[in-house]
Amino acid sequence: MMDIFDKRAPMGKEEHGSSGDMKKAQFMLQLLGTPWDANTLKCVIAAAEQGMEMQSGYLDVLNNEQDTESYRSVFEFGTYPGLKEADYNVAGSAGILAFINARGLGFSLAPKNVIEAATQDFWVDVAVTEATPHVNTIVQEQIIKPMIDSSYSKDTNAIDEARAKLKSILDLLDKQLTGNEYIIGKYTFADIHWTALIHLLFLADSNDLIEQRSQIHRWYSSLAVRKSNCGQNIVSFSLLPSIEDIKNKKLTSVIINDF
Amino acid sequence: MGIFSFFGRKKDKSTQEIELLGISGHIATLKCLILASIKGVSLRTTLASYDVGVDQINSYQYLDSSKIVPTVNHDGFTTSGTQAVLTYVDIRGKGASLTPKNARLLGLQNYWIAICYEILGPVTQAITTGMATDDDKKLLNKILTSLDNLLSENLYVVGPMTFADPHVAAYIYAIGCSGIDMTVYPKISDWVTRLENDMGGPLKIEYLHMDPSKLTATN
Repeated sequence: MMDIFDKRAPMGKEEHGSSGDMKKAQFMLQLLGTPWDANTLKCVIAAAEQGMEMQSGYLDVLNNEQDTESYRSVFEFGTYPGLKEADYNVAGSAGILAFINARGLGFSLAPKNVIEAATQDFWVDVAVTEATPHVNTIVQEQIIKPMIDSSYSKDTNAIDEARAKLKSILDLLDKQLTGNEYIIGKYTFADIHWTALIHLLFLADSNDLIEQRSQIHRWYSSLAVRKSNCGQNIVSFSLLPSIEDIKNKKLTSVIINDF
Repeated sequence: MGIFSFFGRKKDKSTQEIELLGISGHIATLKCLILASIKGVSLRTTLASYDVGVDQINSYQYLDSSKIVPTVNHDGFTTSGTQAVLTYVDIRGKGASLTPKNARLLGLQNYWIAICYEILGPVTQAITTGMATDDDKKLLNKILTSLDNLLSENLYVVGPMTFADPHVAAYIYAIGCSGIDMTVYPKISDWVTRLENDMGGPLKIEYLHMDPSKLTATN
C-alpha cells in the first residue's frame, strides 16, 4: 500500500542522478515538511551539504495532516518534519540532521574536539530555544496568516515584541561571528540551524535585523555562494524557498548530478 | 610508546573539577547529573534557589539577565544549556561516547530527545505543577506506554545506551516524584534499575525537591 511519503514525495526517477559509483551506496531520502518551517529547511540544507539526494514533499500542517492516521501510523506523536529511507523513518530535525550527517558523503558536521562540540551545541540550543519561537511568530504574522486569510490584519504588537527579543540574541550571534568564518570557526550544525532561521527572517521582512549586524550579514552572504560540505557541485543555500515557493507550498528536492 | 598510542584517545590532563551550576527540581539540571553519574564524572554542583520558578520545558533557563542554568565551568571553559553540558561531560567522562556511530540509531536517539522537549517536557510541567488536564494525562500515558513497549525489546531507549537515556530518565524521575503510578509500566521500571546500576546506585530523588507550588513555568 502506498504510504504518505510515496503520496506526498514520490520519487522521480528521471530527474535524480542515476549513475556513478557513489549512487550504488545510497538510497533515496524522502522528506515531508513545510517550506516555512525552519526545521524542515535545516533538513534540506543538511541533505545538500552531505550530498544526499532527497525527494521533498509538502506536509499539509495547515489542515493538520500531521494528525492524520496515515502520518501517525509512521510517527505516532505527529512530530515533523518526517524522513524516510527505505524501511527507516525518523521525525524531527535533530534526528534527521544526525541521520543525514552520518549517512552522507561529506566530513562530519559534528566536531570531535570537546570545546568545539560543546560550543556548537550551545549555539544550536540558542537557535532552538530562544530564537525559533520569535522567528515563528514573525513568519506566522507576516506570511502564513495573511496567506490563509487575505483579510487578516497582522498583529504588529506581536511582531514588534518578537523583533525586540531577537535583537539581543542576534547581537550575541554577531559577536560570536566576529573573527570566525562560521559560527564556531568551522562549518557545523550550528550554521545549518541559524541559516534556516535567518533565511526566514529575510522572507518575513525582517532583513533589517540582519543587515544591521555586519558579521551575521557577512556570514549569511557567504553562504549564498558556498559549495557543499561534501564537495559536490551544489550550493545548499540555493535550495531554500522563496516567498513564492512558500505561497505555492513548494519544497525543493535535493538533486545531485555529479556523483 | 606503543604503536597504538597514536590512535588512542587523548587523556584528559586537566585536574580541575568540573563545576555545574543548576537549579533544584530542574529536569535539565537532572539530566546533567544523571549523565555525569553514568560517565563517572565528578561534578562540584551548585544548585540555585528556584524562587523564580522552574522551566521544565526548555533546555535551559535564565537565573538573571546573564546567568543560565545548567552551566559548566572547567579549566577556563564555560558552556551552558543541556545539550552543550551533556556533550562536554560525555567526552570528558569515562568510556566510549554515548553518541551512537550507527546512523539509524543516531537518528532514533535524537528523535526521542526531541519527543522529550516537544511532548514529554510540557506534559511533565503540567503534571508536576498539578495543572494537568485529562488530555495531558492521556498523552503522558501514551508516551509511557510507547516507552514501555520499546523497552520490552531494547535494554535502553534505542538499543544501546545513548543520550536518549539520561534525557528520558530525568522526566521519569520527575513524573515518579509527582505521584504517577509507574508500576503499571514494568519495563520502564526495569530500565530505571539498569540505569541505576550503570550509575553505581540510585540517584538521590530528594534532589528534585518537588514542591508543586514553586514549580511554575517561567517562559
